[in-house]
Amino acid sequence: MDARLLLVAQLLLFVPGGIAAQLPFAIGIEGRGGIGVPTGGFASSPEGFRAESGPGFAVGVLLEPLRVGGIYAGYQHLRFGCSRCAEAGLDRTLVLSGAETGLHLSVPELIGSAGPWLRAGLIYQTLRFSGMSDWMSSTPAIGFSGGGGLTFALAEVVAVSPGVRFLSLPADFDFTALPNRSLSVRALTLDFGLAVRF
Amino acid sequence: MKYSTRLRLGPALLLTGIVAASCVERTTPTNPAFEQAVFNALGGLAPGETMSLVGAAAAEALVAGGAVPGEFVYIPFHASTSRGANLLIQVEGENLSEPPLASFGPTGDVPGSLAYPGPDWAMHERIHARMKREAAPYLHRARRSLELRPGELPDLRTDLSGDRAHVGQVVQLNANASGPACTAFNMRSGRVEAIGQRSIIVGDVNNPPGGFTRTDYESFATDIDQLVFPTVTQYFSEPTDIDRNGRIIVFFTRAVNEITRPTDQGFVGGFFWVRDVFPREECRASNEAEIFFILVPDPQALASHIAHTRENVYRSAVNTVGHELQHLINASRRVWVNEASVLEEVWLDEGLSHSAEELLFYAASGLEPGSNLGAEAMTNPAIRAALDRFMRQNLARYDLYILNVTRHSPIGVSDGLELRGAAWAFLRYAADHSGQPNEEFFRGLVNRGEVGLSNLNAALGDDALDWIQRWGVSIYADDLIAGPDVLLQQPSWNFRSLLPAALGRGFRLDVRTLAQGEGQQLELLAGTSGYLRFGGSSMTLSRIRTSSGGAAPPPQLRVTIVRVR
Repeated sequence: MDARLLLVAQLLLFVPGGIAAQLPFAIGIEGRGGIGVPTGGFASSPEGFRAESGPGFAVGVLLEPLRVGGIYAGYQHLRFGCSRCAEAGLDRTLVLSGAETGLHLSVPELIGSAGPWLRAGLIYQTLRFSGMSDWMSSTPAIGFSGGGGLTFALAEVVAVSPGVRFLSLPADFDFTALPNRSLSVRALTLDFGLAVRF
Repeated sequence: MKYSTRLRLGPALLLTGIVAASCVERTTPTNPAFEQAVFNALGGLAPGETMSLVGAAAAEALVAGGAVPGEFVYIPFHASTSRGANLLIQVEGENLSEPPLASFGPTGDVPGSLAYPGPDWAMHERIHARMKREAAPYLHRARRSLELRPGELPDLRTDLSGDRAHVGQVVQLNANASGPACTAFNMRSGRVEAIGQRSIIVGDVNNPPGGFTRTDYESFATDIDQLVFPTVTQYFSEPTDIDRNGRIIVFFTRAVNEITRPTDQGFVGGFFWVRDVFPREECRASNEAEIFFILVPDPQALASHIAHTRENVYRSAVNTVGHELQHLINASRRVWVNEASVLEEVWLDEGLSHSAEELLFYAASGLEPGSNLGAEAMTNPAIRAALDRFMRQNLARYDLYILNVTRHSPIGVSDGLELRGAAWAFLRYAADHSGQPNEEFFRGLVNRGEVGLSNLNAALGDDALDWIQRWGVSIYADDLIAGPDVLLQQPSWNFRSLLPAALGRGFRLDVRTLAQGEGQQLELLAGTSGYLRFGGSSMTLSRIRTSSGGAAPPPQLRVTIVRVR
C-alpha cells in the first residue's frame, strides 16, 4: 500500500503541472489534515463497540472548470481509537482509508480573501483492524461524504481551507469461522486543507 | 475545453482515481485468535449466534458483553471416532457473572407422566452384539452355499413355507438366544395362532398361564397388517422372503422371558437372530425363516423372576414387533439383497430400530415428523395414547442419555439405554436436517453396503461427526434459543417441554455452571458433548480458558459457544 500511496502523491504532484499548462481552467492539488470524530453507533454501539477520535489526512486532485465549482478525487486516511480492541488484544487504532470523489462548490473571495466551500460525494473505503501480526479489513464499500468550510487565499495559487465534513460508510466483516458482522461507520472530520492551484 | 486537453486530462485523473481506489484493501485473517479478537471488538455474539473453536484455538475464547451481560453456554465436543477414548479438559473463566437460572427451562416434576417400567434394552443389545459377532463367519458363506445367481433369492422350504401354515398347526422352532449361533438349539413347540396378510403369529404351547388368547394373537396379526408392516417397510424396505410365504413369523414364547436371569433388574422384550435367515446347509440351528421372538405375559413370574401382566406386554408387544422387524429387514437384506460383507454396527442398527418405533408413533397418531411436539401433546388423548404405546421408551432412554451426556455417545461401543436414546434422537435430528424424505434417508441406511459411521457419512453426504457435534449443540439450544441457525433446532420434538410432561422428571440435561474463579473439569467420551453455562460481563470481555493435561487442547476438541440471551 505504501508504494501505491507514493504513486498517488507523485501523480498529484507531477501530473497537474504538465496538464495545467494546456488547460483553460484551474487544476490543483490539495492536502488536508485534521481529526476524525466518531458519531452514532460508531461512537458507541449497543453491542459495546466504541470508536474514539483520531487523526487523519487526505490528498487529492481538484479540477475546477467553472469558477464556482468542479470535481475532486483523492485518497483519505483516518485513524480512530478503539479501547475494546486493546482489551481484545488488538492494536488500539482502527484505520478507515480509501478513495473519495465528488463535487466541489466554492465562492472564492466572497468576503475579502475568504469564501465558503461545499463538497458532496462518494467514498470507496474500508475499515481495518490490526494486531497479533495480522490485519483484517471490511469489504470495500461505497459510502457518502459531504461537508463545508471556508477558503482563505494566501497567494495567487495557494489557499488554506478549514472545514468540517461528515462521512458515512457500511463496514461489513466476513469471518471465516464466526458470524459476519456489519458496522455503520459515521464520523465528522474537522480538518485544515492546503491547496495549490496551477 | 479542447479535445486534446480532455484527452490528456482524462487518463491522468482516471489513473489517479484507480490508484487511490486500489489503496482500498481487503483481507481475511488466517489467525483464528485474531479473527476472534476482531469479532469481539465489534460486539461479539448476538443472542442465538454461535462461535466455533477447534483445538489449540479453543485455549482462550473471548466473549464480548454488550450493554447488558449476556448468558452463554460453552459446549465442548470430543470429535473422535476412537470408541471409548476419553478427553479430559479443564475450563475456567474470567470476568464472568452468574447466569440466571430461570432461563434454563423447566426442571420440576409435572403430573401426568407416561412412565412405567419398560424392557431392559441393554440386555437385548448384548444379544445383538453377540449375534453379529458369531454370525459374521456365516455371512460370506450363505450365498455361496446356495450357488445363487446375482439377484436371486433363496427358496427354503419349511413347515411354514408357502401356503402350508394353518391355524392350529404345531411347529418346532429354535428359540435359542445363547451359545454358538449356528450349533446351539433351544427347540420349542409353537402353535400357529393367527395368520395375517403379512404375518404368521405363533404361540409357544408351553407359555405361562394368564397369557394371550387367540383373539389377542389375531389382534396382533391385524396390527401388523395395518400398521407395523406397511409403516416399517415403507421406511426401511421389505424384508427378504427366503421361506416364500410372504410373511414374517412372530413367535410369542416364554423362551424370551427365560433369558432374564435372577440377577437382572430388567428384561428382554424380544429378539431377532440373523442365523434364522441362513440356510441350514451352513447354519444347522437356523429356522430358515424371517422370524423373531417376543416376550409373553407371565403374571405369576414362572418363566423368570419378573412378572409380566397381560396388559403391559400387550401394550408394548406391537412396538417390539416394529423394533425387531427393522432388525430383520436390515440383516436379511444385508445377507441376501445388498450382499454386504458385514452386518450393521449395533449402535446404528439399534438406533434404526428405535426410529422404527418412532415412525410407528407417527403412523398411529396421524402426525408427521417436524411437528415439534411438546407438552401439549399430552393433553390430546389420541396423541397421548400413541406416545404411551410407541414413544415412552424412546423418551425414557433419551432422558437417561441427557442425564449422563458426557459418558454416552450415539456412536459408542458400550451398550445401554443411554446409547439407544442418543442414537435414536440423533437419527431423528439427521433425518430432519438431511434434506431427504424420511423414506429415502432410512432406506439408504438399510440398503448401503457400508456400516456405522461410513454408512452415516454416505447418507448425509458429509462428515457425520460434524452432524453429531451440531446435534449436541441442538440438545441445549432447541426450543430455548431463537437463532438464525436452523441446524441448532430439533424440528420434530420439543424435549424441554415434553420430557417433564411425559416422564415427570424435568429436563435433566447435565449442565454445570462455570463461575468466576471456579474452574470445571469435564471428561468427554468420544462423540460426546458437555455443557457449561456462564454469564458474561457488561461492556467488557470475558475469557474462557481451556486446557487439557496442562497443555493447549488437542485437535479433537471442538468448542461451540452459544449466546443464549
